[in-house]
Amino acid sequence: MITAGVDIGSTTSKVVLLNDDGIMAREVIVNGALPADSAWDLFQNTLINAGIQRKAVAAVAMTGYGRRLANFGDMIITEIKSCGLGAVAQTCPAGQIYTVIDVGGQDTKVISLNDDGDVEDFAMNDKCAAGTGRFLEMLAHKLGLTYPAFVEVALQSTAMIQMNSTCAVFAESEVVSLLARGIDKADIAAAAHEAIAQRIGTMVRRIGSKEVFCFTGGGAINRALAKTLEEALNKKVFIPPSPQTVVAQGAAIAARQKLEQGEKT
Amino acid sequence: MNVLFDALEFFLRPFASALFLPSLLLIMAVMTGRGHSGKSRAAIALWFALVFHIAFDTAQLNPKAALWLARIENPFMAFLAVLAIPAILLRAGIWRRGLLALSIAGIALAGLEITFQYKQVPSGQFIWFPMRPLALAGAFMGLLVLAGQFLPLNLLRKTVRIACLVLLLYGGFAFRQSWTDYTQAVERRPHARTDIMTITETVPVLRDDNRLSYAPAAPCRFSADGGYFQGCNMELAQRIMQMDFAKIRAGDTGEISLAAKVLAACLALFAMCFVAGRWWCGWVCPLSTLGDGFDLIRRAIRLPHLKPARTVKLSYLLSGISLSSFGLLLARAWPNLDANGMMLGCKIPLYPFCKICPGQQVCPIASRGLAGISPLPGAEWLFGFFRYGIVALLLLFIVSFLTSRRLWCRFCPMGMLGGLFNGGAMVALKKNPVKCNGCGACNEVCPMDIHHVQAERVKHEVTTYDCVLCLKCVAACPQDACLSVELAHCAVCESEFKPG
Amino acid sequence: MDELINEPYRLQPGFSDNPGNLKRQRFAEDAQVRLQAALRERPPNIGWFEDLMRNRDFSTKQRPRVGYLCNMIPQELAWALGADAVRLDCGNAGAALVGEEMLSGEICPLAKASFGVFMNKDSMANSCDVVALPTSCDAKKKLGQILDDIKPAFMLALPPEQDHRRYADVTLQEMVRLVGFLETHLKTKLKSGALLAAVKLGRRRSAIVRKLQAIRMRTPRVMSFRDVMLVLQGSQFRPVAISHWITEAEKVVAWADTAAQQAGTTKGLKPRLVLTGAPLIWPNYKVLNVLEECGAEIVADTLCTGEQSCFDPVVLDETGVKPLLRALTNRSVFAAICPCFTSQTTRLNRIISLVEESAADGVVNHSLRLCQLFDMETYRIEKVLKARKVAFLNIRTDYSLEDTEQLRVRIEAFLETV
Repeated sequence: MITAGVDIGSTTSKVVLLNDDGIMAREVIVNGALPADSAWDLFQNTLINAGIQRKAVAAVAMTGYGRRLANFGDMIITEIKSCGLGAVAQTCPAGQIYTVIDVGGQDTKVISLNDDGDVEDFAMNDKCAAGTGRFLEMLAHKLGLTYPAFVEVALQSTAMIQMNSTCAVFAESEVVSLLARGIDKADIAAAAHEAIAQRIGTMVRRIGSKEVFCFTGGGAINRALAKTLEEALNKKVFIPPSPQTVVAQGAAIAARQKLEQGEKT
Repeated sequence: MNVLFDALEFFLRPFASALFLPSLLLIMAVMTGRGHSGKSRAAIALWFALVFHIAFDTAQLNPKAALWLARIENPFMAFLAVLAIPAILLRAGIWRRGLLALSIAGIALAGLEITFQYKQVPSGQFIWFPMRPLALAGAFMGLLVLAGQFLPLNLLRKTVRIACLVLLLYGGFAFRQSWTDYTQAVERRPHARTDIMTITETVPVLRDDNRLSYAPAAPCRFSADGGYFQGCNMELAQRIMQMDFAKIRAGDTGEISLAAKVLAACLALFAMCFVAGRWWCGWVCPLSTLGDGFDLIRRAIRLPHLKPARTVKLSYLLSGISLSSFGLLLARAWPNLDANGMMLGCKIPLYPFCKICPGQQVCPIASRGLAGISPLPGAEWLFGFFRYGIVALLLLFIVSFLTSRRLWCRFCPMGMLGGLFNGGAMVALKKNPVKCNGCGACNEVCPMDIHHVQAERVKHEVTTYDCVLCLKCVAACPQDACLSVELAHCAVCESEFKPG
Repeated sequence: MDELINEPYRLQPGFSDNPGNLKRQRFAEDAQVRLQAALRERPPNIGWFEDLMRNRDFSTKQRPRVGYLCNMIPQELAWALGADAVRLDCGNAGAALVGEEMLSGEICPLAKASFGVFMNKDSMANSCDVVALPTSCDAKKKLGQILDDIKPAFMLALPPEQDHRRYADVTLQEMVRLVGFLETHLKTKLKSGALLAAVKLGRRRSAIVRKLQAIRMRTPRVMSFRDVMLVLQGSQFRPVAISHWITEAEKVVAWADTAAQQAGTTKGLKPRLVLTGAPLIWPNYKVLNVLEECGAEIVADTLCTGEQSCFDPVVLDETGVKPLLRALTNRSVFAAICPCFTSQTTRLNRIISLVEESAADGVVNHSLRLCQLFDMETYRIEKVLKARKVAFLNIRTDYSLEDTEQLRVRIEAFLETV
């Protein structure tokens, strides 16, 4: 049985194809003006690349911010539930995953799971960009660096400085003044990562999360953020092999479970 | 007719014993605690009744045992055990209908008995309803059981209170056992008016003078032919104080037999307290029913009641304890009084406490009219104490009921005994704290101004010492299944929201 | 605030005529009406309640009008004095903007909106003769003197705890003072007969609410919770003769009863929720819209603007004026579940017994942004419910519609877990 999970996010869309043996294909695309169209194109391309006909896909689950925008799905599921399902499906050497931290383009989620791997509680920061990937992109731009270079340079920081602004927009102007004072770009980059890690740490503590922590989403590819997060939490975090597609994978799993349930009843 | 009643008496007599009902309820409580179903409880109750009956009949063969058993009997207890308690505890339809049929049968039987007795009354004479105590008790309980099926809680309580008032104040006079019995009572009456303080009973008892029966409420012995109960528990306490222990040590048979009667009466009294705690105060006591007549006046003129402050409540309780202790202490002097009834130059009456008890004025007046006012003690009494004492307490009684609902009951020594049983008796007031919305309606209607029922948020048991189990709180509570009354751990009735 | 008659620092009431804002206020109401009009099964006489809520002409009044805030001022007092009692707590996002501009942006939207409506000369608030408010939360406390510059205002001092033994007498005195205030300003005397009649009408309303709640607990799909709120709020938030409202509401109950019997006893498939928290006032039904659109059934609530507001009846015993005032105080103050009191027990009792009675799948707590009381209240409620294995979701929001999608994703995720 082949199922597909489509995660239409704010910045990117992801597609994962799942069969009985596991993941068949997973792909990411940066959204154009109409996310629904981007998602549809990505879905088609993924099918072609995997060599599968559309009708071979038993069910398609839509998730993410734009889950209701496209109409080629068979079921809709929130990204919180998908994230939980996807995280639990990863092989984690450290043990059972109880907390998932998902840093996306425009939102950040902390999800706590129970012993069965179901979502127990969650906290979201989707009102303010100051805890999301957007924040880091903005600051990278302000420092005149590409995003990968920004991450690299953050890892080389030696001094610890505190960024004062709570608002991402004000942070921009603060960066300008820091540069003018001669502060090293590495330290500024590191401080930006620190700010996000602190915010995440607060959310984690608020819902009383426990180990093992799993870090997913686009933000998990950022090694500097992973390192800073581990420092903020004082715990190791597990990063799955393809953190950006974990949510889409979870959606595909949800579709699979729904079909299996339907077969039983 | 006589044969029928003899058979009935044989069947019911064991259940009239003060030993039966408390034991039965105790067994029921234990069974409920262990989770037995209603059916198995009913089965066990029937078995116990059978076993008890057989044991009782066997015990009759021993004259001493028979005598003792006879001392702790009361036909009202029999019908309480056979009619009223089952009516409260049984839920299932067919049993309920059976009980109703029994109640109606009891009333019909009483009707037959009245006709039978009336045939012996000479024509042209009139007395109230002559009937045997057995018939009276059966009809009385039957009527109350019937009323309980149809009436809402508040109305049921009022009905029972008035019924008990009539029975306890007029029962002896109005309801005579037979024409002969009535004529004898009438003969005694003129003596009664002048010599009310002698130990010779002016109050006709159910059988003969050898049996004393008391209720935990205040059926005053001085009511005109109160009849079915000897008096209140303070009278019993005074009798205990009056016993001459020197004579008992010397082996005086008269005194010993009196002591035995008194002891038996205590047992019976404690049994009744164990069954229902202070419920007797709430539903039976004629003194409080009369006092609530003043409360009725206050309500009619729309005067709000005074809520007593904590110090007032405490002072009432302490004065009640002190005065009753003082009265009992004076009663202790009885064996040592000289020929003129004097000791240390003061004349001490037979029942010192009764001389200051307002009940001794209120109940006789209610039953006999103004002719019932016993002569106020003259100057020969102890320091004129009794003269001022009775006036003061009578005023306190009237004012308390007129302004402050049942504030008097905090003072009343008759109720104090029941209060001691309130935590562990078979009747309990229960609360489900989760359902409580904190509105305080229970406190608003409470005649004793108890706050505990509203304030308790954790425990389920909310019976307090002061609670007279009038159940006004259960009737008033607007939340479904918040407050309830339990008899032997079985729920009897629950609060519910009544629209309208 | 009769003491403030001697108040030295009186201000002239200032109004703000902002036609743009008035347009926003009207739009907020119309949008909600349109949304609810799309519901399928509505009571046949729901139009009467809609017209009641949408009416904007308050200039003519048949009786004097007493405005009040919160649920702790008993309406029965006004009714007994021959006046209408209207609750001035406002749920209009447009009015909240007025309050934000003129008063403060850092207070709860309810306070902002309730202030905002007074800035409009033709509003219902300004058509009142007097205003009465309890000292429930900080915002209401300070609003008293602010409103006193506009209309004669009365502050009812609430006890800090709902301890009946300690505070019943003192709170009764406050109620007596309120009666005195109303008598002075309305120029009538309170008679026990009129008060008893008013209390009995209130009891009829309680019976209606309980019946409706019972019907919806068994079969929630017969009537949308939004319509229930619309029906109930008409009796408080608009000037209406209560006996007229009772007649119409009884028709609604009869209709719902018939519908429930026809619907049969099949268990519904939608998740059942108990709603608790801060007031939701028409037209601010955003949270209800999202909850019902996401497929949940709200089977019961503890909102002081919902079923809870009329749930507790006044218990009748003695019928003189003082005993009736005591009974009113008991119902209005001591049975209230407002978090302004120090103890949460009454509120927790209500939530837990509702969850048990209605076999609910979870509890949704709605708190208003910038409300300290509900924020701090939620901390323990969440823990107590979690310990009892009751699913719990906390939503913190205000009147604006900007965060509707964020609410939606949270609610959907929560519904996926129950």
